[in-house]
Amino acid sequence: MIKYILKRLLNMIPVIFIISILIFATVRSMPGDPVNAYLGMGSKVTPEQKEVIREQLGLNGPMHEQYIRWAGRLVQGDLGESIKYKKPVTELIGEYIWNTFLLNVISLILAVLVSIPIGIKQATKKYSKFDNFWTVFSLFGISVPTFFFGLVLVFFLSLQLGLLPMNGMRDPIQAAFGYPNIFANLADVASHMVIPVIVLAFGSFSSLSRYVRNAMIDVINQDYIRTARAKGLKEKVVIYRHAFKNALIPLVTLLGSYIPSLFSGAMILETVFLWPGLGWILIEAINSRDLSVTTAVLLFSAVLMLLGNLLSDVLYSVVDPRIKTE
Amino acid sequence: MSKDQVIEPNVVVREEDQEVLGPWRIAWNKFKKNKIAMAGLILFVIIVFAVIFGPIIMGQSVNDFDFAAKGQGPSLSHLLGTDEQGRDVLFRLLLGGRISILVGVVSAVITVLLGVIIGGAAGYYGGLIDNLLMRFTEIIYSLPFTPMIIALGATMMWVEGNIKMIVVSFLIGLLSWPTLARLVRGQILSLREQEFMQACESLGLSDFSKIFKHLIPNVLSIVIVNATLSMASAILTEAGLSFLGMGVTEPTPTWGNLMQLARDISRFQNMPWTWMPAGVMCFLTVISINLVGEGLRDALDPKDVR
Amino acid sequence: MAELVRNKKLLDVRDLKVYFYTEKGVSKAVDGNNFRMYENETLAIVGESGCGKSVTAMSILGLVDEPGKIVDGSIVEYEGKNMVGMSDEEIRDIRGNEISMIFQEPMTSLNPVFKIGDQIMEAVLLHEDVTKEEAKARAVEMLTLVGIARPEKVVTDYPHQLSGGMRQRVMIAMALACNPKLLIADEPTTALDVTIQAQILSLMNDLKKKLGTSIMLITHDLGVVAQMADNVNVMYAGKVVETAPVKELFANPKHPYTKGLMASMPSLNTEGGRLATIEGSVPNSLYLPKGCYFADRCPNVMDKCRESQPPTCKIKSRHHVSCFLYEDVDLNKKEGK
Repeated sequence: MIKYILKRLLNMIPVIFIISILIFATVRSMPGDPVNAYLGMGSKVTPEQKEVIREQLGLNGPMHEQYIRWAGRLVQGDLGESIKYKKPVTELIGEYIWNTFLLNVISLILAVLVSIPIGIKQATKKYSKFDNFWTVFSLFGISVPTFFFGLVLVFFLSLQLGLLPMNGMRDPIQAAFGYPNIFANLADVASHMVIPVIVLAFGSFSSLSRYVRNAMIDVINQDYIRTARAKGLKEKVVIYRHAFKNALIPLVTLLGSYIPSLFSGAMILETVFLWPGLGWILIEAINSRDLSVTTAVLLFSAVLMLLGNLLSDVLYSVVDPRIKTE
Repeated sequence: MSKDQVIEPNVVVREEDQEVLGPWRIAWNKFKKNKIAMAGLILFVIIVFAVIFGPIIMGQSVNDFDFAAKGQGPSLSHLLGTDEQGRDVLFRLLLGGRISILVGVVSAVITVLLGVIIGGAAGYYGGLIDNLLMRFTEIIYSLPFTPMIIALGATMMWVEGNIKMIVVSFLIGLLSWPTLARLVRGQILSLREQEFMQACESLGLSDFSKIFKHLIPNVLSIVIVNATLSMASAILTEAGLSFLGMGVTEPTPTWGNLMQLARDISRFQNMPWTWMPAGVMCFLTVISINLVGEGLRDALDPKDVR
Repeated sequence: MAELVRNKKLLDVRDLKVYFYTEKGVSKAVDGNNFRMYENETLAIVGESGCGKSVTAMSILGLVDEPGKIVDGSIVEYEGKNMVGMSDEEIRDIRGNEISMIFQEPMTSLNPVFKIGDQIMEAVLLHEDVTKEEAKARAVEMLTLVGIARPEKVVTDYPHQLSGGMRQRVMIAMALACNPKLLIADEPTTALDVTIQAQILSLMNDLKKKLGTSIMLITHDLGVVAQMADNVNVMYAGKVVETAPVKELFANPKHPYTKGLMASMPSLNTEGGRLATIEGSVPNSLYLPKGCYFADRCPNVMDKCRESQPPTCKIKSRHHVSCFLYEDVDLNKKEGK
């Protein structure tokens, strides 16, 4: 198994190399001069000084030279410095990533807990009223633009009813004056999380429950399910033990690929809720031409994506006794 | 035995005597019986008609401003109110629908073309070609979709107006095809193993007729279902992109950049009629397409006997 | 005429009807079957594919899949209790315990994600009050009984590690683990190689003698029937058309369909020439004629065959046939029943 993983990681290197070129080229071809962004509006600097700054930022010379310099530092673990925040990008990502993770992990756990029993029940009562209801419900979830759903919830729950905070992660006044205790701090963050979690969990629930339903329907029609019934097992045991353990194979594979996106998911939503996560800093960075941050976040997401694919393949071979990775 | 099961005395109706329906006819019959899918189809047709003919009937132009009614709520003269510049929201909503749906269609076409050609070539020719194409597919597949499309949208900021719409469609298409390519390749690989393809081989059919007469019809159901679903997701992607200001931009309206109006807090709070209808329309369109896609999937699945 | 002394009655199926309610209409897969099974005997149910023999087998344990339904009024009496209309719990007590079943496809009939041992133990633990160790010992014992080498190793194997023949042996071990009185075997050898087929069949015969299990054997293969069966039911289009002890049936087939089947079977005596075939095909079970279902293909067809369903005529003790040809020799009539 370790040999297999190492081999896959080795195979990943050329892919990452090409992806890094694509990402680098994309980011560098954004219009606008990052040096101007660095200097801020209305600053009076001579062209000579500008060139000095350009060199400091590593933006001088032809594109391929820039790439080689950037990649050289990348290999040493240096992702450069943020123009906007004036600190190392690694530090910046390390700071914000956990906010993204917090939001995503809670939503995913909720979605998994609800979608599995519902998806299974849908499969056992295919085309029943119950099944049709949840099929349509989950179609809502994959059809609504997440940010719009978020906006509507904020509009009604926060603005009209005043039940929940509108955006951000903490109440600015409370945070500025300090929380009386840790529970007040947690409660504040939790209340800010309610709407984004609902939106995210609704989306994940929708795709997961559909997945569970279809995987279970595939399994329920298999011959070994009939064998299990012929043994005299209770229908519950047949479904939850014999059938579900088989449906778990594709499901675990899917969930494996979700894990990395816990660190990078929900980018547009973070902008809507001003949630200080990775998506938020990416869009800020793009808007302010903070090139090193943009490149780093993109590359980071790409690496996560590749690791997600690897993880799901590894999990697949773990849960399915038929697969041997040797 | 109840009488209605007996067709005619003394006559055995055999299967050969029944009308033989083609696979497409069977699929359509199945689709028609699926009430939810039919509802989706009808909804989609209504929306398409509304966005095509609505603006014509309303007889306005993009540059019509009602200076007397700036930022007014819904009324009889402006059913969905006006924005701050005095433009009719309903009119812009319908115009925006044209662009949003068109972006969906164009992206889906690009996705399907690239997916079928690349996946098909990889599956059909195998060997080195397969290896190279699948490597390429893997690379595009590994690009993180949302951040990448946002970054690409940002690099194309300088493009304006209606051309931007085409650019956005291409960007979405260029990042979306790998899933379909993988599906098509997989399907073709499994078809190649089947006996009827070996029969084609032994009959000495040309590549052309093997691909177009035998393989394409067999992957068509996958492609059709995937095309509808990728159209739905392209509409959502465009909406998100334009919402962030990195897709189609003003003055060309799309549902995405109409929703962008909500990013201004006072408009968000005080003029919901400017941004909410766009979201609702976007949702209705996408769900109608998804319903049709689901219905097609069931209808085209020969295993699904209902 | 004196009845032969027979064993205790095990299963009494009367007027069994299984209909499939599809969108196109009602498909009568099994349409009024009557037969009995006795302890220690092997009953073969033989017929073409689609004649309802598998559905008959499934319906006994109530395992017919949607949209199939056992029609009210059908009776499947096991040891004096009607299994149709039993509660789920009651029928589950019988499944795998008193009546077990093995299927046609050994490759897909075992759950791929459970170990062989666990799958056998599951039934034992369910139906008997035993500890896990005892159940495991039983699993090993059963695997030995069905002729699997190194059973201690195989219990920890997954199904994909075994060949098709081995898997069918495992299925048999699993089915017999609770010492059932009846084993329903639905085409148990169809999917296997010929040599493996013979091994599995002789294994089943041995086990029947050893354990005293009755076997209901569903097959389309008259060779298998000749080798295994004590009694035979011939099914056509959802009905039993002829029933007889195996020797009687082969020596003295009565129904035109049975005769056709016999004639289509190759034997060492037929030299050269073509094998006989039965012209035509089975009627669509959605549109069954009102008369005899075999009328269209029957070489001896008469006008009345198309008018009404043929009567069941008694040829000899235990030899019955549903055909108008034998109305005159019907012992039922002569005996004044």
